[in-house]
Amino acid sequence: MISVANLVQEKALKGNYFSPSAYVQGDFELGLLETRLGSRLIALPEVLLQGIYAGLDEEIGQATGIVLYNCGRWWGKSFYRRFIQEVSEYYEMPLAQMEMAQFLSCLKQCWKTHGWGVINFNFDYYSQGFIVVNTVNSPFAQAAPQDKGFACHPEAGILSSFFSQLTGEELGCVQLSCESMGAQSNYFVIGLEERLKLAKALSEEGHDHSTIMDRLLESNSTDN
Amino acid sequence: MYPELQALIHEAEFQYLNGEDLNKLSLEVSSLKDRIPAYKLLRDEEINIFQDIADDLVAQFPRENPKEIETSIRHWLVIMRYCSMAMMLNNHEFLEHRLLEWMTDIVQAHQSQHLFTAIYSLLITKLNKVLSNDELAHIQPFLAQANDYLINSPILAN
Repeated sequence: MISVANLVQEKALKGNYFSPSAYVQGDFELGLLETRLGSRLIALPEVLLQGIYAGLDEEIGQATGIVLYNCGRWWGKSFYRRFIQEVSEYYEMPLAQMEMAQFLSCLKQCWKTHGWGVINFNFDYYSQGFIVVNTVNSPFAQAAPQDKGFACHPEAGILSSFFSQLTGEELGCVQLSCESMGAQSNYFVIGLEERLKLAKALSEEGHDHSTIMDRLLESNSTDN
Repeated sequence: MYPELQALIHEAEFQYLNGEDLNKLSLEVSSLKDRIPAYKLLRDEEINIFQDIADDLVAQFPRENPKEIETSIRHWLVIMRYCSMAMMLNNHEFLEHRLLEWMTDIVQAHQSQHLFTAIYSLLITKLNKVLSNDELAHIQPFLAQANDYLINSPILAN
């Protein structure tokens, strides 16, 4: 027999921690914008992002992507730590006990509430060692120079370091389509660096993401 | 918080509220008086309501994994709490943002739609007995919203 009294006691019955109206708080008199746990938030104006892309392009040219990717990796490290801390504190359970669907749903809501657009995950290729991620309305793709190449390096860096820490493996992330190039969404593939080399090479040759994914999976099956 | 009130407050920035607006305001406040007792009842009867539903559900699906039944009941316990609050605030957006858009993937990942909809109909039947017609009319739109949203939303993960 199921005891509802126990169910009510057992686990916290809670909803969306990252709901914007609850998550974004602040003391406006003091000029503070904070999360609901009191961590400070800052807003990055679009002109600043545009300036970062333009300034880096001016100073280091082609290396811009690598620099932004590494900034993203650094950012992702702290982001992961804070995300895990906040989520496990709010839902009163360690990460290991959380259902995967709940964890990903929190990450999606968190991404959205931070103004990074809408993110979706696809685990169809997980058994072959790849995770596919799609985002739309990326602020980075919007601020970057248009039609000048893939621009979501910060997100790619964040995703690589987030999933590296989550899985305990050193993972990379390659972008395969970009809104700044007129695509409908930004398409990323996450996997072991070694296995992503082919994706990177094919992307530089100008192939689209579905072709690249097919080739990636083919090469994977011949490797095995 | 209260969308109707919020709209009136905005309107009052431009002009004194007219008679029609004041009627809306008065209706909003007086219906809150009815919604609070419904909320209290749902709060106090939470365990009784859901215990009956759980017992019926086990009888209805004897071969189902009890863990799955528990999870579905737990989902509806959360939904009921948020629906009750949304009813007090008379705010469908509150329910959507604070719960439903986050919960969709979680509910759909369990693939226990049959349990989910069975609980919904048991819940409505049970509330028909526990609440007055007026009280039921306050809460039902929110429960219907939740059921519809969580079952009919496309799976966003793909």
